[in-house]
Amino acid sequence: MRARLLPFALMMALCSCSSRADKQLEAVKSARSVIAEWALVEEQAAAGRAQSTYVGQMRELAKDQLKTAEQELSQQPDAASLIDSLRSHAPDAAALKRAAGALKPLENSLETA
Amino acid sequence: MSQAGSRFDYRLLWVIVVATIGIMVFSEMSGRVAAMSRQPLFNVIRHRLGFSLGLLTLVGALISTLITCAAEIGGVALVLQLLTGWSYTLLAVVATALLILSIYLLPFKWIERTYGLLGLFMLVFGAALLAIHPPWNEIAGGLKPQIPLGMSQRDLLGYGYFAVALISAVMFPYELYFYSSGGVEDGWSSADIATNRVTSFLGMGLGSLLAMALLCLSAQEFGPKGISPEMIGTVVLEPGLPFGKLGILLGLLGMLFAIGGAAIETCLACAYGVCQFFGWRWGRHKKPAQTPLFTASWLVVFVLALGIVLTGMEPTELADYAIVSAIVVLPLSFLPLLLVGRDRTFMRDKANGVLANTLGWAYYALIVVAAVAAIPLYLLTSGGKL
Repeated sequence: MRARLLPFALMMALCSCSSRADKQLEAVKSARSVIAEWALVEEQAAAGRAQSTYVGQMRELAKDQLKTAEQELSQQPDAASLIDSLRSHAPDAAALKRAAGALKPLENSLETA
Repeated sequence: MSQAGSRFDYRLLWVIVVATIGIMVFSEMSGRVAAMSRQPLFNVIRHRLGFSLGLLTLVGALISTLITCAAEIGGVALVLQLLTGWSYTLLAVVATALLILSIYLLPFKWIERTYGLLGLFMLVFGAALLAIHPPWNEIAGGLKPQIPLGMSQRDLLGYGYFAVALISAVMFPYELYFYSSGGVEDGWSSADIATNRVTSFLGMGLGSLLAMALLCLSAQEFGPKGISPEMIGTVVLEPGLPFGKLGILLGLLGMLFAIGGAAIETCLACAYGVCQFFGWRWGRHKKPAQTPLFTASWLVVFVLALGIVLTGMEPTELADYAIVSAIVVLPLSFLPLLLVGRDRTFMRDKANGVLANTLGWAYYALIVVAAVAAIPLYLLTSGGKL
């Protein structure tokens, strides 16, 4: 019986490895990438090198993805409010790049936690 | 591919090469078994593993392939959303209906030609790689098997996860279920062994070259910008950066037909598996009314896959689950193939030679290790996101 429970116990132990700090790290990494992706889309749009339908949809998809990250980062008020301001405005590529850069220190601190 | 490239630049290229040789070996073997024994893979699985273990393999394969099909329907809907701006949910339903109509109305040869030829728009990714003049010496360095030194424990686990995920993505088991069934339906015999070899090597090789182009483009264009693509739409910026609007359009069209064609293959692979296992009449060359249970099977698979998409799960999340579940199923799918492939009572003078046996068992050991490591690595790295 014990032997049968061993794989289950091992799996539970692995699942518990995903701590709250890990969840926040995952959220901040995801947010930073989504913001950088959005910045690249805005750069292409500003240069007239992307279709308007594509750009509009990518903006909406980026905002949806950031909403999930913002909820996960509720314990990090600075990061959450930064993401919230991006979602509620129409930032250009430069503002988005600054925002991605501003999240880097938080990512580094969670990485070493 | 894109996330592996942006995070580990070219250092995982060798995994694609290794996995591609593996899928070539097993694909050639499954085609040869189909030609000599006139048995598709799931017949072989049932006879060699017995009913209980065979049924377990079938259920595992169905779950993995169904999730893959759902990820593909979601992917098609997302690409259509980027092209039209319409609602994702509506487009998922429309995409499923169009895929069902494709299978129902078009002769199989036309399905292959339509999706195969239009999927060639994906070549824009290869052209984009040539256009950006990547560092070929670094790319060549990535082809050498390596475990990078000086990485943190977290990065090493991530490297391991992406290595396993790439093996799984290149060696998806549904490819063999589909391929061997096609061989049986086309009535392959010993005269088709050479054609089978060329088809296996070229078909799998070309697909992997494209995968390598995606990884290299991501390493070159996304990694330095801190992008690890979280949105499917970002991937078309790979040709979009060098070619502008045309690159984005061709990239989206290529993805649309490549993913759509793959959705048809995964759906039919599920139906093939069920019908072959239970001995029901099956085949895409027959009219749907002549194979009612086969027709019902693939219709049910499409409806279930659409149901999964409509729960709101992201296609990328579904793709992660598909990749992990596929590698877990691989050992059970490939073992009967290896056993039959070397059996001279079935295969006569076309049984595995020394090279096919050696490569087959070496790859079998590799996929067993990958299957054992897949779930722990997925949990420890949160699907490569940590």
